[in-house]
Amino acid sequence: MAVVGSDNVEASARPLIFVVEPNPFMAEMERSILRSYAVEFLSPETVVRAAVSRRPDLIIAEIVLRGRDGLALCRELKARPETAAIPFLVFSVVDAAAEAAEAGADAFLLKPSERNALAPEVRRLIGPPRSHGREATP
Amino acid sequence: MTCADDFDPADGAKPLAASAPRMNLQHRRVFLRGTGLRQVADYLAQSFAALLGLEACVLYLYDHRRANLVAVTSVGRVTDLRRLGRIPLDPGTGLAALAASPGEPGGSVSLPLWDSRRLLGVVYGRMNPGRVPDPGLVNLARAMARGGALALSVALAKPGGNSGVAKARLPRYQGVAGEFLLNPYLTRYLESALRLTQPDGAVVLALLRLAGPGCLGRLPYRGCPVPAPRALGRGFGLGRGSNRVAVVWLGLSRQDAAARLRLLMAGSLSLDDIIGRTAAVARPTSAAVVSHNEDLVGAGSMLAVASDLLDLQTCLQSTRRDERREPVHQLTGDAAAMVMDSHVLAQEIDRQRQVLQDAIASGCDFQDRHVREISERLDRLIVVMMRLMGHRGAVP
Repeated sequence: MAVVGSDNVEASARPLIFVVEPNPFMAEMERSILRSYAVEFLSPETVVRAAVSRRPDLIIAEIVLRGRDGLALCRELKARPETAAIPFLVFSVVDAAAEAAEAGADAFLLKPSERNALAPEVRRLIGPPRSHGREATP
Repeated sequence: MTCADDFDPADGAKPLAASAPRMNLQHRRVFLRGTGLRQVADYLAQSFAALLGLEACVLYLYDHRRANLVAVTSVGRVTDLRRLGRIPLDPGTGLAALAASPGEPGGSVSLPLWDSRRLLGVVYGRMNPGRVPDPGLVNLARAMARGGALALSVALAKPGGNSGVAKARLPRYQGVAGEFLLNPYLTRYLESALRLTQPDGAVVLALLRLAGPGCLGRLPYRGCPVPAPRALGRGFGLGRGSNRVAVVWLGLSRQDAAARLRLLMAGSLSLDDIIGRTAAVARPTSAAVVSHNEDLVGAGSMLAVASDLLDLQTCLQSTRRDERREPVHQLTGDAAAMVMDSHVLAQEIDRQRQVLQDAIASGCDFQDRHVREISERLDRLIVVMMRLMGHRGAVP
């Protein structure tokens, strides 16, 4: 994403993360944990089209969703050439690491109760917020 | 902070009634008419962010049962009050008078359900007719927030429309109007408790949700809890209606306090033994316990987590009643589980995880209604645990 003008550098330099999370409590928590990133919450119905057109840096999805499950979502995105390279993190209450890997997910995290593991995993997948490649054009 | 000047025992027990022309403290109300919940939540979050000079404000709006979240909204810093979208509420003077004070850089804080009423009163300039908006509360909130983020929990006292709306899920709340019911005394009560305790002493806060009519305990005088003869702790009830809450400061360790409360919930100990001077018909239906130094440090964090835990416990109990028809999801039914603390929360998370795994192993797919319900419940438990850990500094 090319950006013109230094005022926009900081905002656009933040990696863009799409999150598919049905629970408003958890969504708010994820927004708080990932506040250093540009986070957008999308529905299972809209995330594929948005991913094709906007190419986020990461997609995070719960498995248990209304309409279609997160694993089916992952399979479709990984099957599309435009979105196959976008890292996909399954962040779920369901302990389904093997199923997530089978669906093509790049990482799986069981929603934590004792400590937060989401931020470190996101950093591992796409790097820290400030040093990401979405830079302004020189 | 001084918290004694605006003390009024009746205020904590009654809903606000600001739109009434008479200046009767027992009948001040803030009515919300013709406004959707989203607008109300957005407006309040913006108001508080501007009022307290916060970087961000997250506002949680609950239904009148104080158990179900009906709206969540968050805003960034709002520096120009003229940009605030006013909603058709009676205008107050507190907001403009107090908004000029800048916040300080710092961390974040959550204010619990009942404490938010004072902020609401400050925003509308109606907390204490004839007096200036409560600077003590503003100073407290600002000091705790230090210009960072503020999470507020606000409850609707009554849902608009028919009572069936209260049982509906989030989307059906859109467009509902009602009145806010919040209570001002928790913060000052706990601040007093912490002030009166040695730095390394135990301060265990218990919140009890009560059923049955009758007032209980002695209201705090000038912000200080009044000890009751022969009672284990000090405390008082908030309100006289159903689902009201009692605040108890127990001079026990967390384990001992939880043990006593379990006896109370099981009926082996009377409320009078715990808090003193209680009406016999008032009985606790759920309880939450937090401990200063062991669980958390700071009045704001303790109140926020205790409020979270009590709301969670109420929600779980409601779920348990619903699930009697569906034994596969039945929650723990013993008295121990009726006292919620961080240990019970952790156990409940593990148990719900197992219930979810069992449901999936039995052939339910991820679209199954039961799986989704368990998942939502587990999410809520995990969020409260993460928020608790966040207050401890373990979650960024």
